[in-house]
Amino acid sequence: MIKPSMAIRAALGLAIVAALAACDRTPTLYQPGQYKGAPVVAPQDSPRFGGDKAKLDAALNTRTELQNEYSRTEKK
Amino acid sequence: MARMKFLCDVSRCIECNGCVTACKNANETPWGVNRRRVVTLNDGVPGERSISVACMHCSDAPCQAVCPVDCFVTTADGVVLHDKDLCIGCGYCFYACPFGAPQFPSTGAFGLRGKMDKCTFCSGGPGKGSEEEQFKKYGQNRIAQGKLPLCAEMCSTKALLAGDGDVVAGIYRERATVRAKGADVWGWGTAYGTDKQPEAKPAAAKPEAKK
Repeated sequence: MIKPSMAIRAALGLAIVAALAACDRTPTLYQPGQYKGAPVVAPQDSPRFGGDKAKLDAALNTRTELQNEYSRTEKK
Repeated sequence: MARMKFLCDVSRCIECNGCVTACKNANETPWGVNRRRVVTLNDGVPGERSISVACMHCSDAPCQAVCPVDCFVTTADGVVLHDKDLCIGCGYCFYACPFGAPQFPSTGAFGLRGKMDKCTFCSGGPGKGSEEEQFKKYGQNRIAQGKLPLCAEMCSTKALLAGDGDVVAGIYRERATVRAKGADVWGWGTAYGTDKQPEAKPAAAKPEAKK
């Protein structure tokens, strides 16, 4: 025979599982593939980078890091 | 994979509007269209905060979800762009956007709306065309030149940061660590300030007027 306390614990456990499941990421409303416009030209396909994504990322990260005055003014 | 993001450090923003001017100058947006603007909260009150706002290039962009002609696209770098050739200027995106980013130039009489215009993270727009044609439609494409948006690069106090979200977060984390210590380093209060207003200095006792 199941004791009432066990039933309460089981119900509580189920409630916790349900609550945690509800914490999952909300579904994305926009579904990929809906876009009907002109194709996007990737920035790395510009003459300067010639399709090299790593080179583009490195250039952008260098610029981003220049915004950090701590790295510019203090030698670590 | 990089995800391009803006971050405005409200503790540093001095409301100079340099970012607004830089954006307008770089992209030559028409009169009445401000892709970026500075909003000040509690203006004139001690502890006021200013924040530079533009399109935040949301991961799950509401403008994209509501667009009836599906003219929005998220690029591989996480930049939200829209095709002006498809846009019908309906204004749904304006209502959906929590930041008020979509802008509509008035064309003709009676306040007729033109096609939507918004921040492109200085990465041009979709489609191919002559450089001049693309510039007229979307503005500069600085990302293709390995440069960041001009608003962030022009920011005098480096309040406005732009770039890969991970790198930007790293820079901001370092600032927050320098600003505060201990448990105060992390959290909302560090990032956006607290409710505590600085105590007003007691007014200097005025010398009594001689009778």
